[in-house]
Amino acid sequence: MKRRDAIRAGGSIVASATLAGCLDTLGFQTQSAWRDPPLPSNRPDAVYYPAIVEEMGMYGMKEVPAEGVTFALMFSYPHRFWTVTGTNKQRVVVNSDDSLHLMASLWDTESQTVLPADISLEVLNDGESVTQRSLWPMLSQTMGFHYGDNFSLPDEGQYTARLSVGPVQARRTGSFESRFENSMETEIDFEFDTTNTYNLDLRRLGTKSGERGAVEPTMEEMPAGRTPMESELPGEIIGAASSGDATFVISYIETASRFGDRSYLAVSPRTPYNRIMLPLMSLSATVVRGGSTVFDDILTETLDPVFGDHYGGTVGQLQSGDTVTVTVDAPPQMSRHDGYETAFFDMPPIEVTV
Amino acid sequence: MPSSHNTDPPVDESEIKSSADHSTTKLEQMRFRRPLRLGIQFVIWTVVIAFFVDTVSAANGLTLSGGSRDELAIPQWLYLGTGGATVGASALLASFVTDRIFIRKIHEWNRPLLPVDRWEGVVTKVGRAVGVVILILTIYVGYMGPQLPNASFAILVTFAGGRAALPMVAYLIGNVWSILNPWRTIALVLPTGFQTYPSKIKRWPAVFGLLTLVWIEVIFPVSTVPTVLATAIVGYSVVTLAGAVVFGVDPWFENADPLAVLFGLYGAVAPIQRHNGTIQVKLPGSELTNAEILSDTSDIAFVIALIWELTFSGFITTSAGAGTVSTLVGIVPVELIPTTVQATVVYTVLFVVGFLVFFAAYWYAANLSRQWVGTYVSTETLRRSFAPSLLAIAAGYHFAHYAGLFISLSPALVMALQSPFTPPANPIVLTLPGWFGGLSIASILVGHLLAIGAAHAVSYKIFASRLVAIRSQYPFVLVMIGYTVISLWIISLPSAIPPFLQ
Repeated sequence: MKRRDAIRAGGSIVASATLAGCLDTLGFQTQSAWRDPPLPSNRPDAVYYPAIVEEMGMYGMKEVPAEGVTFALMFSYPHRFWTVTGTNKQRVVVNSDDSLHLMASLWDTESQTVLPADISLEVLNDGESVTQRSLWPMLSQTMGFHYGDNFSLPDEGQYTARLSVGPVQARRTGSFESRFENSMETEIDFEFDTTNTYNLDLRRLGTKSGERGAVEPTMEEMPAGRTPMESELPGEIIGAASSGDATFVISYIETASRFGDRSYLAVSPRTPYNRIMLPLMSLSATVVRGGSTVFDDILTETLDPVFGDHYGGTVGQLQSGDTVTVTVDAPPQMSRHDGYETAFFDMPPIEVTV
Repeated sequence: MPSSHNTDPPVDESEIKSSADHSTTKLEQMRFRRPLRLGIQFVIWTVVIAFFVDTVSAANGLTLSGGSRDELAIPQWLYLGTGGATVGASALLASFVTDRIFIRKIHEWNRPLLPVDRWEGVVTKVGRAVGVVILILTIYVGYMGPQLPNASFAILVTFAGGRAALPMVAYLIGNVWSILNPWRTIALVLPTGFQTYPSKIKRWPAVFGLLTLVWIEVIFPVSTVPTVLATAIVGYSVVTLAGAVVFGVDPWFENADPLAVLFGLYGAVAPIQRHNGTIQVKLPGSELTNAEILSDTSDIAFVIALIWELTFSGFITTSAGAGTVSTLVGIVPVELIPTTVQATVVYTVLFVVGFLVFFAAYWYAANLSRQWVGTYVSTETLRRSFAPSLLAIAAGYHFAHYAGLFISLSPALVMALQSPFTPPANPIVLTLPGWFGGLSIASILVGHLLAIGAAHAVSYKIFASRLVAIRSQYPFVLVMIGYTVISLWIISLPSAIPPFLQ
């Protein structure tokens, strides 16, 4: 009897101990196969070609006519990315329960200017909330500037994405002055089907990966958040220089009513190669004339229909020989996908002479 | 310490036909030589172990995940423990086992498990059906299914299954490929045997085939891009089926098909063997003393190719290997030729030259062995008799190289087998704990031990004199130690992605 009891007890123990638990005891742990995709060795401290680039798919676009803005919701494989706080970055790996990477973008319908804002996304299934979270402002080579995160969905099927946006925090000028002041909300329905995800193209960049450069943004229906070309910027370009691999184009406008009828210094930082906007930075500028400082102040992040997202301040009349120094007090507080995570951190001041 | 000298039957000694004499001086020398041999082994292992403490284990280039690679640090105590146990075990092996009856008993021990005829029909039918279905699915899903390696049924079945798990089953349990082999099953229903297989080419086609398969695996992205893999499998199927149709099913799969030969030979290491219609349990590696396993130089070349392909594909996925390739590509002064072409040439030359070096090392070991003992036994016979023991080394290294890959990908493989057409949203893999690196090292050492043991037994089969038998092994043991040390070195290196390849 005793032996039989022992066997029975043993049997029930074996039965209750799942294989997973067993493997866990031995030190094996489950994780996503995409947890941490390969990184090229010797990444430069600059924008570089990633090892792999993935296409993304469109779940839908929706215009909010009352506000004159358009939302888009896109998807891709769950992605690894880096969040940025100050000058620290934190790698966010793909969890084993992440189902997909959801991305949102928001732009002024008429000017196609991408808006920097706080977006949160709630996923609903039959009216019931599945998950809700604030999206990270992000920079990726195939999408440009967007908002996104990895999401875990219980199953394949029909879902609704409810996108909520607060007022745009940046100062607005020109025709944008009285706009983007309200909170908005829109809903985009989508069907989560892994087949759609697996149909997305995936490109290995081979020997190119790790080299300085960037692939072109691939979305055609929507803006990638590009800044205007240097030649299209208004005012007098007093300099364009690179810092931390970002290009800073500095323009000086003698007088323009939308900037308060005073001389305006506009700094438009952008990524190299694709001119993607770099919001969420802290910049300040000084103007030195003949050894004495005539201007020293922070530059305000500003959204302008012509400049797009830029940083500006009203300086006095600039004179020939003035030295303008732009200091980066904080690099762009944006999450980065592969290819951008090493750039825009160590950003020395830029000095130009008028 | 051994008292076996006294128990050795005098009959064996009197049957000696070799030229070695048995003067007391020689026996005296022998007493010193054995400690010397142990001493040398001890020193070698100590150096090896001291050199690799605090290193990391290798991984494979297949998985998209690169981040977990450097987490396989091996605890020092385990490395030292394993190494120490090995030194101790080989010492035991060398000192205790000079009793030829004992040796023979060990290698001939077997227990009949069950007769084949009762269930063979059913198992064969099911196994063949499974094999063919998986082949068709692999090709179809390879072209039509997801193109991500960890979510692809085709890639997972081919590499976690065929490349990693099936050889492990073959050498740890027994060869099941002879049943699963889908090409053989398909060829069985085709009209075959239009030509007689040219017997003078022996198994050279299989040697060439194996080297070609590994070369393709290295050069082309078969382990990462499912469509490329599917194309390679279609190509392999065409060649294999054409060969089987022209030359007949058995001649083709016994001589020319690299996979059938590979699984057959790995199966020789296994504890489960088939003899005269009965499934027997034997001690692992004991079948390796069977001189009938290999019958020709081409067979020896195949065994060496097995060791070399694992060494090579291991080497190029390490930092040292990647560095070597980059350096070699860098010194080629031709600017006009694209880098990828240069890299392909470098990989190919390394692959071929390395194989020739490995083969030559073994080839000359036999010459040396014959010179040292001055025997009537031909070099050819020595070569063939000792070569099967190398299979244990190949098996040990295969385990070291692929067990981790298999376990890591097993959850993804199970998911792929459950639903080949609809992959999961996020395939799951297992991370390997730190001690797993120690297991890899242990498997290499166990393979080495089995090989030494088999060589020991083989030498006692060939030579009546213990003295001659032991001396005849020296060159082979040296070559084996060479192969093993290289393997241990490779798995201790940090991993890298082979440069210039897609």
